[in-house]
Amino acid sequence: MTPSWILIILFTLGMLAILYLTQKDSRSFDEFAVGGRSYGTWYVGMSYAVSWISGTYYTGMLGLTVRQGVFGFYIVAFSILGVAFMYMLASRAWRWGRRFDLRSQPDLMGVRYQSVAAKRIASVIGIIGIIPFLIVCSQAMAEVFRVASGGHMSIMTALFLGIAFVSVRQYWTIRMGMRGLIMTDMYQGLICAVLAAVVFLLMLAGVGGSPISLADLAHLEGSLLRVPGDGGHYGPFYMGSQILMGVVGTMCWPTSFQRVYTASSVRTVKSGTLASMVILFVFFSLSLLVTVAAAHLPAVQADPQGVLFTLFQAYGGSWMLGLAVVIILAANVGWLDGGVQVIGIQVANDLINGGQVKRYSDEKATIIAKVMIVVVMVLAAVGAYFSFDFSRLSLFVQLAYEGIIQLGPALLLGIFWQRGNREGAIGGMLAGFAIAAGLSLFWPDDLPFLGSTTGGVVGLVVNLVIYIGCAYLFPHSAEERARVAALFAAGERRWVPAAAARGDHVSADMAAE
Amino acid sequence: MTSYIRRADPVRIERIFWLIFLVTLLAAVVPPFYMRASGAGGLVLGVPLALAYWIIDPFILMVAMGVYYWIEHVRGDLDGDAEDGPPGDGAVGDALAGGGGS
Repeated sequence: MTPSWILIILFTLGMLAILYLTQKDSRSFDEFAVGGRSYGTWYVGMSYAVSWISGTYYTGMLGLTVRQGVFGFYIVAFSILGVAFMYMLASRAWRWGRRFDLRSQPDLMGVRYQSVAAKRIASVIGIIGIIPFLIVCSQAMAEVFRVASGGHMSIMTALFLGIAFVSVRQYWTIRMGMRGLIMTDMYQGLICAVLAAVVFLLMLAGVGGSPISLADLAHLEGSLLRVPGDGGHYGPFYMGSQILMGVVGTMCWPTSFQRVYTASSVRTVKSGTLASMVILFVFFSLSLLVTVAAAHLPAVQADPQGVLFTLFQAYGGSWMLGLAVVIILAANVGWLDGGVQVIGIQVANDLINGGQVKRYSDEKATIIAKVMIVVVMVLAAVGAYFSFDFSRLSLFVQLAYEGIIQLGPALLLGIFWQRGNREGAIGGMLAGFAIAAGLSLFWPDDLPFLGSTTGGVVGLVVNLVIYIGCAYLFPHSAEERARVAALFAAGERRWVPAAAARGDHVSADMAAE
Repeated sequence: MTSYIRRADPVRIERIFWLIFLVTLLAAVVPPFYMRASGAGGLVLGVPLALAYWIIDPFILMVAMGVYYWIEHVRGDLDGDAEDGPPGDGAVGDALAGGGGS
């Protein structure tokens, strides 16, 4: 048995042991969806960070960095900007979540706009955005097993094995819901982010015969230091557009937003957000610096997407190669778990049970969510099989971003701006999504005639104009104005529920002043 | 210092941190800013400026958010929510949300 297989087995046993020792069946939907809103700083921080790091980061994003150098660093900027934005809106989002028993991101849209349609549209856009990632992660899972076999395993067998592995993990997700996810996120995050960052740091320091060191950064090719748009075929807006999509997308991913609701208090959600900022900043910076320092190595240039495997093997032989396999496996399992879990919750909570009258009890909704998890996993596996030879999977992911950011104006302005209304939210989301999808059909990467901005950004601008325009064209009725004001008062620190329910828009904080 | 922070206008404090966020965002998305660092090979702690730009910009924001958290902690703005009791059962939310609609 090779070191890779030994480490995969040890990783799996560790994961199952954690799940077994912390097992608690989720019978209530609140427990299943948000883990009873009971988690502390580091659990929330790590879980949120893991929702950023999929297995495809180590292959697709690091491969991109080998080829395009500084361009890969955009993920450091947009992740920290996005998480900082999340910090700023966390208080109101968490308080609304707790006080109104919100279980999903679309739940917030439904309450904010008093609209089942807004909630369901947001839910559908979120699900459409997650599915391409699930497919890509399923494929990365197959790649992990193929590498573990020394390249001897066929793609089909590797894909089947990857899906079988995830299925075993999903048994626990189905049984424990968000609690199982949070517990294993910590374990997986310690491996795929913390342990990986330690190895990257040792490599940069040149410890123990590292194939690269910090000194390599002083001799990089000039092409690796130029952003897209500074020469080459891209226009000047390409880099900025990708970062803007990333920042807005940060708040729009249902997988990330769901983590806010698992925190036990505003203090925890904010300290957890800070913790995830530190984890992401250190991990992304170190991994990208190591990758760009290794870009000159012939073996890395020959297989940019396999840069992690190449470097780890060169650093410590087959045991380090096994560690690289386990790092990607840990990241993939975390992302797949989170993705299917959130889709299950949204289908049950927002689409099936999200009307004016709940069709099913919480117990039945939990069962529906669990069934959906199985269905989504099967669909992701089928999608992974049929798209395995698709040459530009990273583009597939970019398109997902272009769609998901159309939730941005309604979600983000809705949290900060009382004037926004349901007409603007629904019209903006639909128009933005249609424009992004339409433009992406003809120009899937960038729009050359608009300085290489993307269809998603154009859709976002139209979306924003519609949202703001509707706010002024269709002002709130007096009743709606009072309802929204009371809702915002409920986002204050100290709040008087009776006053809010009556429609008084005076929070305890405001009254005290 | 802490007494000054407790007395300070919370809206003003929030605006200062929104301004820091906006400046770092503009530095990352507006081409005239980031193009100035593109291709720059001068070293900052051993890292070429072209790469360091994309590390320093988020680092400044991360430190600012850490300071903001400390200020909120000193002011006691992070506490008080635990007094809510158990999560709502949706009844008040239904009242505010009007039970759905649209």
